[in-house]
This record gives sequence, structure tokens and C-alpha cells, in this order.
Amino acid sequence: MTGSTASAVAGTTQPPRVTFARASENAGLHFDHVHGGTGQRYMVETMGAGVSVADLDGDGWLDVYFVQSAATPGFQSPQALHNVFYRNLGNGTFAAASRISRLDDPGYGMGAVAADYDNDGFTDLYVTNFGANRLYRNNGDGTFSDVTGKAGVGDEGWGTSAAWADIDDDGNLDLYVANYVDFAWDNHKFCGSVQRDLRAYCHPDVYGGVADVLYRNQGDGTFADVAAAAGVANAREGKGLGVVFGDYDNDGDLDTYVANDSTRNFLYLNQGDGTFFDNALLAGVGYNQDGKAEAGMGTDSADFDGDGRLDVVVTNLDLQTNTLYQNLGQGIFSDVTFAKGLAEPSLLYVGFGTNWFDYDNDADFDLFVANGHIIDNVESFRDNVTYAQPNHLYRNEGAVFQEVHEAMGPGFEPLKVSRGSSIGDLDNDGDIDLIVTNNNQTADYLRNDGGNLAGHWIQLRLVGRTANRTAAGARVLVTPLPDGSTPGTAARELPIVVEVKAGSSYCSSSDLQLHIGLGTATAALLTIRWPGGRVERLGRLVGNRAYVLHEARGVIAQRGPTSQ
Amino acid sequence: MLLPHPALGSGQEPGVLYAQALTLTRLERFREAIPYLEKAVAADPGNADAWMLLGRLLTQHDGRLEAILRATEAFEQALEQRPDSVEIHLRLTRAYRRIGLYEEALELLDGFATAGSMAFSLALARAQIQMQVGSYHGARATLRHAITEGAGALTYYQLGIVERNLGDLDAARAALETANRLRPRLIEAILELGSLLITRQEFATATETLRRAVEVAPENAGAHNLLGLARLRAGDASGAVPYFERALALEPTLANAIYNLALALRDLGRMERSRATMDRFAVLNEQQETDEIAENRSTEVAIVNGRGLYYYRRGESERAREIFERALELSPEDGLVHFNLGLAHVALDNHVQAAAAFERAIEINPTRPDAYAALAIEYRALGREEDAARMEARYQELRRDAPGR
Repeated sequence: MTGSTASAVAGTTQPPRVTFARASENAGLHFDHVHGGTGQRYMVETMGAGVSVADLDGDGWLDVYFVQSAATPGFQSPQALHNVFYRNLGNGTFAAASRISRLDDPGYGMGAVAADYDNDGFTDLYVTNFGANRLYRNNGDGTFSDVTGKAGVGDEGWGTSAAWADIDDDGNLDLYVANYVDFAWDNHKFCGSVQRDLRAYCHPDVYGGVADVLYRNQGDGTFADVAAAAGVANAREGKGLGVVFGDYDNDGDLDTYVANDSTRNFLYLNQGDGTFFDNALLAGVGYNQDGKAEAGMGTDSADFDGDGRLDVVVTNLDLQTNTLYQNLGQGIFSDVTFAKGLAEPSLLYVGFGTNWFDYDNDADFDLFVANGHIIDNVESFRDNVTYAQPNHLYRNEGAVFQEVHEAMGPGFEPLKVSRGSSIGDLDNDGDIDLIVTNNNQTADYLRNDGGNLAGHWIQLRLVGRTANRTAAGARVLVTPLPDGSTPGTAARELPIVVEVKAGSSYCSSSDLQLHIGLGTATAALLTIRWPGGRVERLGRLVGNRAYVLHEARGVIAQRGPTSQ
Repeated sequence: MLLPHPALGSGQEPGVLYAQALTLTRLERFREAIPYLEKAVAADPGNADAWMLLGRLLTQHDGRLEAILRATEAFEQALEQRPDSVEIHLRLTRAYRRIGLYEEALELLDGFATAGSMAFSLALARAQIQMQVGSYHGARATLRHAITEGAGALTYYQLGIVERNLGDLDAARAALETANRLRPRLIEAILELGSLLITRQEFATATETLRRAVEVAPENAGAHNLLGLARLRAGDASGAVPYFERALALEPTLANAIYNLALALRDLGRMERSRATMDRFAVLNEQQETDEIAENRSTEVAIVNGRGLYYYRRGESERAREIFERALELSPEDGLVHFNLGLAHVALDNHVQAAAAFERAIEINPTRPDAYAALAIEYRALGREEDAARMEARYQELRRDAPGR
């Protein structure tokens, strides 16, 4: 909450304590998710919805777009249910602006993902629904237009997570949409314990899979579904809930990882031309270490071990553990969940949203997991788990991850049924905050207090020119430099590798601006590989500042942290 | 044949019939013994031994639902005669579990106490049911109590499984290690411990444990697979391959051994063979997963159906009706359950509903003779003589065409 980070870090032996405040109430983020259930336990009710954190009004402050459910058959809502857009007023508070911005989508919402798909300088929004999805084009004047029909992106399946990426390096963002199962109101089935007269939400095995959709951006405001031609339409095994793009094989193009629920996960490697082959099995990321499919929910990728390769985390059902796949290179991953200390703490929890982020600015990726069981009456079936669960934060300590959420203050205290999660520096103070959605409950804004004092940082907003303007897929190698050092005397052997991601976690998207913790280093060198292949190197950039970097033009703006 | 069949109406004494059944049982002609026992208990319902043997033979040598239901009745009759019998408690508990009467099984065990080794068997049975109904903390308490009373390896093994489900892997490991120490040849406990050690990345100990497993059970494909996995996870892919190959020689469709073999070959750089092996895994795994899902669903429906029949046969027709209706929510196209629902409605004098249920059963399975017979009766009760006659005719046709006639 204060900007004087450099002096706070220098000379301290014990890093300042980082905590997360429960800031929703004071910030005016009063989003209350309503699943619209009546006791019939339609499967869709329990899946919750996600959230997008993005600067949708272009004022330099991150806004929040919450996705709302809708009525199930027979549900009478006291108020109209629609998605809610909160504008960040820049003073620590937010104001709902859904109607005026025309972002009040009334569908049975699942997810949202932000990016500037038409390269006009304004961030647009794609919303997935149980039912037709929607594309909202940012008009640049605080309003959005529903251009779904014209764009041709209104897939009517049960859309969940979506992600933007330029899969063919033509400068236009394409769109991957994960579809879940073939559930519909009229094929609702009884699940649960007949013996005990207990209805419960159905397992995804009860329904068939649905192929995902891949929309190729044709550059004229329209898209074409190329999933089949691109090799990503696997209806038999596709029960997608999580999607994250990244260059997993370090070959310069964007691959995608899809977390499927109860069927194996997909690792689609880009063959350089926007077509993919699924290498999940041989890579060892399709199944768990016993060769069993798990209940993949959310997913995110980051180079957690600093070896220059993107690793993947997938959240799963209780007694499965979340799974951390370490990228060993050569197309091979290893399940290191237990070895890294992430298994036992997650054994009795159902993970959904998940984000890699450096909450304490110590120059490595920590891990957040949003938890909440699927079965609302699970305690009637089993006494080893609960429906509402604590969210988890794991600190990266090099060899292992340490479970730290219990020491993280009030933000981690409530037991809720969490689903989506998204990260960003909502108060522009130099540390990363969290937004978490909860099923049929109020959402939470977990404000990071003290992260900016624990370590130095740098923020980079990349703007493509020949590359897509969002710079989704851009890879940045950040080499932290100790105070007073010169290039060549880096604080660490290997640079920190980060990529711009437009879509990750569970049904959510996070800020497109990169935030990199620098630890005790006070400056950084950058190497940027833009989508399309252009590589730029930038000399010493001073830490504790946010930079706007344009492709081929370098730094065009910068600012320090804000004190609200 | 030395014995006249009881259906021939021999008029033999109940004691003689029971003795004849015992002789057949000793000769391992179990199925033949069953009719003698039925006759014996019909003639002398107070013969607990005959009830007990009937129940045993039905559960052990005839797995059909009808047989389990009849066995349940037999054990209940036996228990009435001998309320202090631990063995009857155990057998009746098992029979209850097979038709999903978990609460009844727990109730039965809760109202009974005994000492010594049989008490441990009861504790194990109780804990298993508690796990089935999701009461892991209850199961843990049951097993821990049995351990304080001196229970042995099996109880520790079960406790290990319970602790794992409660997320306490340290406690699981300790319990499984004790089980292994107390009974070093208990293969289930060795495999469980080995698997847990692999999960916890303790590969050297896992390897040592699983080497013991393949010594104890050299024909156990799962043991070889796990030993291979321990080697693979330890980074010894070439050392792992022979174990996977041995597992697959013993059980060619052991999917996770194929998967592990593919990964080991990949790690060894033998990509072509790895790909081919992984393709084999994908095909097999898909089939096994599909079969497993279908089987789980069908087992679930069968259990619920069995429970309904249990109450129907006890004369609790309203309860049976409710259970069958719920079973149909699980499986709306199950002709057998529709038929059973019809029977419950008949018992409740709901002739319209009964006729509708039988009609549905016939729609789903048009070659089921008893449904036509039952529907004919219901049509007659509803005054629909013509329809009844049509159904009777169809019934006769099907009986005439039935195989074996």
C-alpha cells in the first residue's frame, strides 16, 4: 500500500510480512454469485463461474468483470441476473457499470477472457456461457457492442474456459474455447445415493464429452471454426474446463494445454502453422502417474523452477491431489506434485482456479489454488471432506513449495466454495492482488498488503505492432540486476521467463500486464520475443516501475507505484 | 444318484434332508445341495444349521440377485435361532452389503458385541461398511479401538487405507508398515505400502518393499508393475522395463503397466516403440474406462433393485415401491426395475400403476413372459378382459418359444 519499497528492502534481514486483506466490502465489489438452483441439482449449478481482471476502460486501472449464472428451470430470482462489470475508480473503490457499458450479459455465464481481438487499442471481452457464448467489442467510449453474430463466435455448447492466442502468427488473435459435457436441461439425470434418498450433482462420466472450438481470426472482424482442421476437436475425450496457452516446447509458437474433467488432459503442440498434434500421452501430462485420468478443473503455466521451460499445474478433485507437471525439455514432463510438497496439502480439497504469481516479489512463482467441493451435500456422503474449503497459497522455496495460506491474514480465512480466480495489481501498488469467485456466494477481493515491501518488482505492458496488439504469447526474459550492477552481473544465472497469457485458471483471465518480482535486485534487463519472432533487448530498466513497451519502439511510458 | 430329488416329493424327514445336503456339500456338489436345504428349512424352520448352510451355499455358489436375497432371508432366520452367533452376524452383514443395506448392516453390528478374534472380524466388517457409507472418521475410530484390543495385521492394513482417505499419509504409512511387520506375506498390505511409498517419492524403500511383493506373489502382475514404477520414478527406466514386461506377460491387458512401459521406453529414447505402446494403451484404456463406467452404473442399479426386492419380499411394499422408483431415476430404461415396480404396485392394490409399469417393462423388453402374465392379471383386475386375453396369449407364445422347452 505504499510506494517506498526500495528502501524497505535494502538492508533488511527479515522480509516484511505479506498478508492478504478481505477488501471486497470496502472496495465496493459486492458481487454475489447466484447459481439459480432449486434443489434439482442441475449439473451446471455447481460449476460456478469465473472472472476477468483487465483494464477494460483503458484508464490504467484494472477493472473486474464477474460472470453470473442464471435461473435453472423453476427458479424465481428476486433480481435480474446478469454479469457485472466493476470499473476501478483508481481510489481503492469500484463502481458497477454493467448496464451503461452494455456488458450485462444475462446468459448462464461460465467464463470471461479479455484481449484486443481487433487490434484497435481497446480491450474486448469474450464471455462463455452454458448456451451461446458472446463477444463484446470495446467501442472505446466506455461501451461495448455484442458482435457475436457478425464475428461468428457464438458456439452454443457448454463453454467454460477460453483463451486468446495468435496460433498462426498472422498478427490476429485466435480464440480457443473449451466445451464441457453434453448436459442440457432436458437430459438432466438422477445422481447420488438412491439408497439414502440423496440427490447429488452428477459426475461428468454421466454425460458425453463435447469437442472444443478453435476460432481462427480472419482479420476482418470475423472468425472461422477451424478446430477439426487444426486437430483440436476431440469430442470423445473433451470435457474441458481449463485452458492455457504457452510455448511448452520452446519452439517459438504457441501451444495449448487443456484440463479435462475425468478424461485425460490435452497438450496440443503447435506445428508452426496453426495446426496441432496432441502430445499429452508421450509428454506424460495426459494422465496422473498411475495412468489414470483425473478431474482437471483449472490450469496455469509458468516457469516455476527457473529453467527456461514452462511448467503446468492442473487442479483436480479431492484424493487426486492437484498435479504439477515439471517440464524437463525434449517434450517430456514429470509429475513432481509430491516431490515439490504440493500433494499432501491438496489431498482433501477440490481445486478450481489456480494462478502462478509472485506474491512476495522474491523473483519466483508462487502458487494460488481456489478450492471448493463440487457436491454441496458432500458431508452427507463422506466425513473426510467439506463443501466449503479454504483457498491455498504455496510459497516457492526452490526445492519445495511451502503451504503458507494460514499465515496470510484475513483474505485466506473464510471457507467458501471457490471457483474462478484471477490476478492483477488492482491498486497499482507494486504487488499482485487476487479476485476469487465463489459458487452461490459473494466474490472476494484479496488485496496484497506488503508484497511491495517484500521485494522489488517490475511491470510490463506490452503492445504489439506487427504482433497482435495484446502481445498475447510474447515471451519476456527478465534478468534481475542487483543495485548498482551493470549488465553482465546479473543477480541470478538464468533469467526469469514470463509469457503474456490471455486466459488461464478456471473460466477466468488475469491482467495482461506482466508483473515480475525482482527480489533484492533493483533493475532488470529484458529480452522480448514478440509473437511472430521479433526479438528485442532492452537495457537496464529500473525496478519498482510499470512500463509500457511497444514493439519496435521500446519504452513509451512508465510510472511508479501508486499510494491509495 | 444316491439321493432322490426333493422336488419329487420324497416325504423324507427334515433331518434326513439336511443330512443329504451335508453329504452333497462334502462332495462339493453345492448347487445340488440347495434344493435339499430349501426342503429341510420348509419342513423345520427352527433348524439354524440348515438356514446357515443354505445362506452360505447361495452366497458362495450362486451369485444371482435372487440367490443373495434368499441367502439374506436364510441368515436372518438363522440369526433368529442363534442371536449370539458371531459367524451369522458376519455372514448376514456381508449379505446386506451385497444388496446395499449398509445402514441395516451397521445397525446389526452395533447391536452386537463379542470378544476375542471374532470381535476383530466384526470390527473389520464394521469399518468396511463405514467406509462404504463415507464415514472415514468412524472407520478410523472402529479400527483404532480394535487395535487397542489387540487386533492384528488386517486391521492395520485397513487402517492404512482409511488414513490415506483422510489425507494423513504419515499415519497411513505407519499403519501399513505395522501390517507388513505383523504379517510379512500379506500381499495386499505390501502392495498398498509400496504404492504409497512411490507416491511419496521414497523410491528406494518402495523398491525394497515391492521386491518383497514379487517374492511373495510372483504371479501378481500388479506387484511387478509397481516395482517397475518404483524404478521408473527413481530414474531407472532400463531397470523398470523388464518389470513392466513381466507384468504384461502375466496380465496382457493391465493398462497402467502398458502406460508405464510406454513412458519408460520414451525415457530410453525408444520413441517408435514408445508411441506404439502408448497407442495400445490409449485403445485399451478407452475400452476399460467405458466398460468401467457402464459397470458401475449397472452395479449401482442392481444394488438398488436388490434392496427394493428385499423389502418387497418382507412385505414392505410401499418402501419397495419408493426404492424402485428411485432406481428408475438412475436407470429409466431398466425393464427389470419397471417389472419390480409393477409387483410393488400390485401388492399395494394400485392396479392402474401396476399395469403401466408392466407395460413399460414390456416396451423395453418385449420377450419377457412374466411381464405379460402379470399384465394380463392387472388388465383383468381393471376389467379389460380383451387386453388380458391378448396378454395371456402372448405369454403362452413366449413360454412355448422359450429356450429349453
